[in-house]
Amino acid sequence: MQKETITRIKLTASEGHILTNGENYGRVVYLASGDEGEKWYEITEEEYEEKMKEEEAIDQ
Amino acid sequence: MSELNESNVLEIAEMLVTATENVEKVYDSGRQSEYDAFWEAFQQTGTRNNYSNAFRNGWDDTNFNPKYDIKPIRCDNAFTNSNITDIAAMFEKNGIVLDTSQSTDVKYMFTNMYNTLRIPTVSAEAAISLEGTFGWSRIETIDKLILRNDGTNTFTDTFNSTTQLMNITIEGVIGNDINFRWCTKLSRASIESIVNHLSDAAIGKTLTLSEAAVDTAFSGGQSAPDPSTTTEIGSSTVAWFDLYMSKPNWTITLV
Repeated sequence: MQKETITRIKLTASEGHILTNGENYGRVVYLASGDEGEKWYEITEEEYEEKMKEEEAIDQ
Repeated sequence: MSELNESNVLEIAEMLVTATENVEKVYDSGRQSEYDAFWEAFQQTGTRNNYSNAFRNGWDDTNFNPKYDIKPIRCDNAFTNSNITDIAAMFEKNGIVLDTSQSTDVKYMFTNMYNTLRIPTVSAEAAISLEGTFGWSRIETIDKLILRNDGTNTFTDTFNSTTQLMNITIEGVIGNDINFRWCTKLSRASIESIVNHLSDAAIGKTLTLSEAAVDTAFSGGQSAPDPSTTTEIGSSTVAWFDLYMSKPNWTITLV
């Protein structure tokens, strides 16, 4: 028999903000087990939208 | 010269009917010959294996009518900008298959397909990069996406702006970051298929899903409450919790 305790930290962005670690984005982030979330920080939704426009413009 | 009588008239009428039928047969035969000649040449009697840009721009339901199986070793940009509405149905109608299992390049294969609703099974087992493969399209259904079992496929912009995607079935292993943030209509079965095929061995990888898609699919599971503090939990909420907890080695973001 195997017994495991799996812990995951869930981060939720404040109203009007998006979470990012510089590469990925989310309003809700379920961190991988063992990740304490130090690399994640908030940006405003406007900053996020601007960033997405830049990325999609480059991609096309 | 014989006199024109009822018998003669009937004989002449029969001859005219036969002549008309023969003209139609000749016409149909001509069309078939034309079809055969074109597709024999275009598909090199079935031996063509480079379909890079083959059906790009201008192809639609009136002219896309391949005769032979399409088994490319390259099919990058194969259908970019084309207007074929149901590729899967066309293959089924013609009794042929699209087999990309040997394709080393499937990049941008279905990019910018604004009228295509359904894509048949696509295998990326011989490819590494799925860069832009389904991007900037209005595809609703991908019958099946077969990935490498070693999890080495990469997914840069694979689903970028694929806003209408509802149904996708995954086989193989997702071993690198993959982003479905544009896919707000993704079905629950599709989300489950995606999560269930995330690599159990990957470290430091991220799956991004549309918050709206998860919310709809799991009836509010986006704010999945802590089961230990909630007395009444809907089965869908538990289902989302169980799903994301099944891949603890993955970071899963909803945006």
